[in-house]
This record gives sequence, C-alpha cells and structure tokens, in this order.
Amino acid sequence: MKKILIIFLIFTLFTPLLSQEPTGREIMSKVVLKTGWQDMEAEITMTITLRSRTRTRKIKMYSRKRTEAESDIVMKFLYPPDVAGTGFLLIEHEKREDERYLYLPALRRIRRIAASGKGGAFMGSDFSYYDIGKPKLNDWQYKNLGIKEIDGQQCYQVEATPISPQIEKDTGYSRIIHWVDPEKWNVIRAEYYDRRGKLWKILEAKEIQEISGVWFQTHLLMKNVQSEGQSEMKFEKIAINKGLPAHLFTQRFLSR
Amino acid sequence: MRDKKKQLLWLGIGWVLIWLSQPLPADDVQGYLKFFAHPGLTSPYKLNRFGTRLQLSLKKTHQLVDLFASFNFDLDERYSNYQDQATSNRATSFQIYPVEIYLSFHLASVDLRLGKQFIFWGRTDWINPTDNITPWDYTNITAEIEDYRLAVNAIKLNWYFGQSNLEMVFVPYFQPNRTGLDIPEAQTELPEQKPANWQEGLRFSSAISGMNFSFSYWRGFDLFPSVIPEREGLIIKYQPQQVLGVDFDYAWGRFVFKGEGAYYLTKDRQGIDPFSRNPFVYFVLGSDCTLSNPLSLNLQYVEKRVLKWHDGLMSPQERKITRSASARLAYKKEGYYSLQLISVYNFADGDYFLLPIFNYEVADGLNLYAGATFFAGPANSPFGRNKDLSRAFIEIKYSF
Repeated sequence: MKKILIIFLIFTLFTPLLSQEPTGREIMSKVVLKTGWQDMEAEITMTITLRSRTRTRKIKMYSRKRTEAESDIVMKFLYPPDVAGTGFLLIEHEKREDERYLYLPALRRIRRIAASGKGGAFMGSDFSYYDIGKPKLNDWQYKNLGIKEIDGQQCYQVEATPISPQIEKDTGYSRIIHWVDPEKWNVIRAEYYDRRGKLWKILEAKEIQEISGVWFQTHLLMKNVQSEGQSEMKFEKIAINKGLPAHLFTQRFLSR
Repeated sequence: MRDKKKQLLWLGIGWVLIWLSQPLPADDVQGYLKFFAHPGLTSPYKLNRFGTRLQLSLKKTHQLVDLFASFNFDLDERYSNYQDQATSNRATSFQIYPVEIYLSFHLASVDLRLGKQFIFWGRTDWINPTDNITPWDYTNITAEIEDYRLAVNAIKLNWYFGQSNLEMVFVPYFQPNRTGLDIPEAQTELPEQKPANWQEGLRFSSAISGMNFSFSYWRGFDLFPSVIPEREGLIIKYQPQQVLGVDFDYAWGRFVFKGEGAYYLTKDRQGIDPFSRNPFVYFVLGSDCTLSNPLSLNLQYVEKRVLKWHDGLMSPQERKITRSASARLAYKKEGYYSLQLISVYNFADGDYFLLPIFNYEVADGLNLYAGATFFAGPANSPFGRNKDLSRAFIEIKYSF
C-alpha cells in the first residue's frame, strides 16, 4: 500500500513536467510579449467593405514598446484626401487608463477620447480600437483547448475570457478563441464572440512574413459575420527596430 | 481700389505658389472643390449665399522647415437679409484669399510658426473661455471650422520639455469677430496700430497622472464690439482685456471630464463705465461620454459672473450671473455618414443656438453636408439678437 502511495505521489508531482503542455497563458504570453521587436513602422492599406460598398484608408503607423506590457501607437491618415492628416495616438498604461488622442485637421485641434471606447470601430472598420492596440495579457484568462488543425496546420487553440465584467463591457467581447501557430507564435485565426455569446467576428491572418527575424501578420482579414461586412489590413514598407524616437509618440507630432 | 490691389496681390502669390508646386509630387498639392447653398431661415427667406469654392493647399517639407499655404478661390453670390430690406444687398464676387499661409521651423525642442494661422486654446467643447486669439465669423457658421474661424497673422513658438509645453503667441494686428452687427450711423474704430496694442500671450501645458492641464495668459482686445455713444454719434470699439485662464481634461472609463475657466480683466476695472464690460469670470465644466459605440454625448455647464457689479451702472444687456448649458450629440458611422447636433441654451432668457449637421460620404473624398444654424429667443437676448443669421446649408465637397 505504501509503495502504491509513493508511486502515485511521484506520478502526481511529475506529470505536468513530463507532458510539457503549455498553459493557455503561456501560449498567449509568447504571442503578446514577443520580445523580438522594440519598435516598428509600416504603411497600412485598410479596405472596408459593407453591402458591396468599399472604402479605402491608407495609414502610416508607428509603434513602440515602452515596457514589456506598455506600448505606444501613432497613426496618420494618408488617404482619402478628406481624412488625410487625421492622426490617432494611443499611449498604453499597465496600471491606469490608456490615453487616446485624435487629431482632426478640419478642427485643427487634438481631442482626447475616452479610453474605454476601445470596443468602438477603428475608423469605421471591423477592427476595434482594442484589436489594433497591443492586447493586454492581464485583461484575459486563458485556457489551452489543445492542438487543433486548421487549413492543414497544427495550432494551439486557446480560449480567452475577460478577467472582469468591465473588460467585457469595454471590449465588447465575451470570449475569443485563438488559433496560434506554435512555430511562429502568431495568431493565424481568431473568433470573437459578442456579449450575448454569439459569434461576431472572425480574424484571419492571410499572410505572415519574417521581417528582421520577427514573424509579422502582414495581411489581416476581419469578417463581421453579423453585419456581413469585412475589413482588410495590408502592411507594407515595414521596418523593425529602427530606434524610433520618443517624440513620434507625442501630441506634438500628432498635429504636425 | 485698395481691395482690388490686395486681390491682385493674392492672385499673384497664388500663381507663384501654383508655379512653385509644378515640380512637386501630386501629394504635396491638395484641396477641394465645393458647391454650397445657404438659404436664410428667417423672413424673407432669401438664398443668403450660393457659390463655388476651389481651395488649393500646398505643403512642402524640407528637412526642418514646413511651408503650408492654403488659398480659397470663391465665386459667390450673397444676399444679407439681416440688413435693411429696403436696400437690396446682393453682391456677386470673385475672391481669392489665403485661409492659412505659414512657415514652420521644427528644431529639437522648439517649433516656430510664422504667418497666417489658426491658434486655438482650451479643451472644452464649442465654448472656450480661454480661446481669444482666432476670431469667429458668426455670419457663416457651417459644417467646417475654416468657414467660421478666421486665421490670424501671428508668430507662435512652442517650447517642449518633458511632458510640458510652453507656447508663446504674438499677434501684432487685431482682427475682430464678424458678428453681422450693422448700425449704419455708427463708426467702427479698430485699435490703433502701435506697439502698445500688439497682442501677446503665454500658455503652459503639462500632464500629471493622466490629467492634462494648461495655464494661460492673454493680453489683447475683446473680439466682440462695444457700442459707445460719443459726441459725434455711436462708435463701435474693441476694448482691451487681459485673460488669465486654466483648463484640464481627464479620462475615466467612458468619460472624458473637461473644464476651462478664465478671469477677464477688462478696461473698466471698477465697473463704473456702463459702456465697457466689467471684469468677469467665465467657466465651463462638462464631460464627453461614449454612450454606445458610434454614439457620443458631450454635456457642459457654462457660467459667467460679472464682477464689480453696481446696480444702475450696468449695460441693460448685462446680467450679474449668466448660466447656460451646451450639448453635442454625435452619431458617426465612419466612412458612411455622421449626424451631429450641437446646442447651447441660456437659462435666464431662454434663448438658444442649434446646429444640426448631417454628413454623408458618397465615395472616398466626396462628401455631402446638410445642416442649419438656428439662433432663437427673445429679441434682446444673446442668441435672439442674431435670429437673422439663422440659415440652412447644403454643401457638396470633392477633396483631392
């Protein structure tokens, strides 16, 4: 009996180590906290389609990591001409509200916008402000749903649920299912569920490129299954770790 | 004659800029073509304005220097129905004028901008007690700010250090609001051009723990006129004033709290001249709120308190305390359409201002605007006095 108990204890203690199955959080940590880049710039072409009507937006984007959990993003609109010059600045904070500023050239003013508008559509697209920002690891609790195959590729399937009702309210998501490529640590597909638990949006990474040793999603397609609209984001002229200066991520630069 | 010369000069400058822009990439030259109609909303319901505008803007960046020039070419028919109806006041004109034209120098921690430019101070919505530099054109309030604000010739220097910014502004020539005030027997007297009448100010902005704030000082002239009886008759004058201001914004959840206040030190410091404004305090407190994804609301409380109040020595149009509220309700389906309703209501007189704006994006760069400017209330109230400026506007704009 004593022998059986010892064997049982050894088995219980060492099973997790032997299996080496990462937890959902470990997987998403690798995705979110990819340490390969400190800053990046790119030109984005965003195409928004709804009821056979297409809108195109061209954006210059700069992003940098301030700390492992905090980053800054600045975007300047290049096209169409009536929105050219519009700027958006997001300063993320780990322990307090993010700062969001919008510069509208028609108003010649920088306007502060509510941080919890993060569930709002980014420039009318199917991407929300939350989707385009760096996801905050601590906003979600994760569950590894195991290895699943998608388009012939073996992926980790991870379920993310909001850590609090406020996060659910702010983002508009009650659940996100991620398919993570275990080699490139990129999300290649994600399903977003609304607050009623219904499937809302499906994200597909149509293209992932290795740039300066970092795997990047360079072509994203977000399908809104409820409105039947879709938005595409294509990244071009990507540059990584160029040492972007801090002054790019300021209100001063936003209005220039 | 002088006006014609001035127009020819602007035409010349415009052509030089267009010529300069020839070897530039197309991206450096932008602008729009706009057709507009502004029917009056008060009897006799004339079409106040009907015309076409071509705006050409040139932006050229060379290392640390930006050149920006924006010119309007307006072919415009106007009928001022707020004037004496016995004398027809219809005018057809072709005007070329600069909207903004400036040079900007960007050094490590300093930005210097020289030329005709818009300078806005303050953080609250629509009503800004600290914003006394760029005048308004109350006769032409439409969907776009550059239609109803008038850029000023100025020197603006911004010095950035850490999270802070010190802005210094110098405006040598005074330019008043366009109010539509028309008293045929009155003479308008602008401040004399002399160094003592130059306008200048400072604004220090910074941020602490997510709260942005500013302190400002402005020495200039009241943008609104004062009508003063003198021996020769009525004189429309612009009185000197100094303004000490403060403003802030703070985001919390779905809200962005905003506040702005100013102390106005006027010429009549003791409050004994009934034709000059007394010193007063003017403040706005409010918040933006994201109601649901594309729907947002801004609500503000506005108060003006006249100081040094002496019964019997005050202008009949003045009140010791004026309380108002403003609201802006906006629904925006980005890339498709937006609806906005801006309103200001004065509690004492029950007068109000309404500005509904509808924008429909027909295609990338092609927009339709429709809306109206309503001034309403008792005849002697601040908005009621401007009833005749009420009008609708319909505009089609193609940006390139």
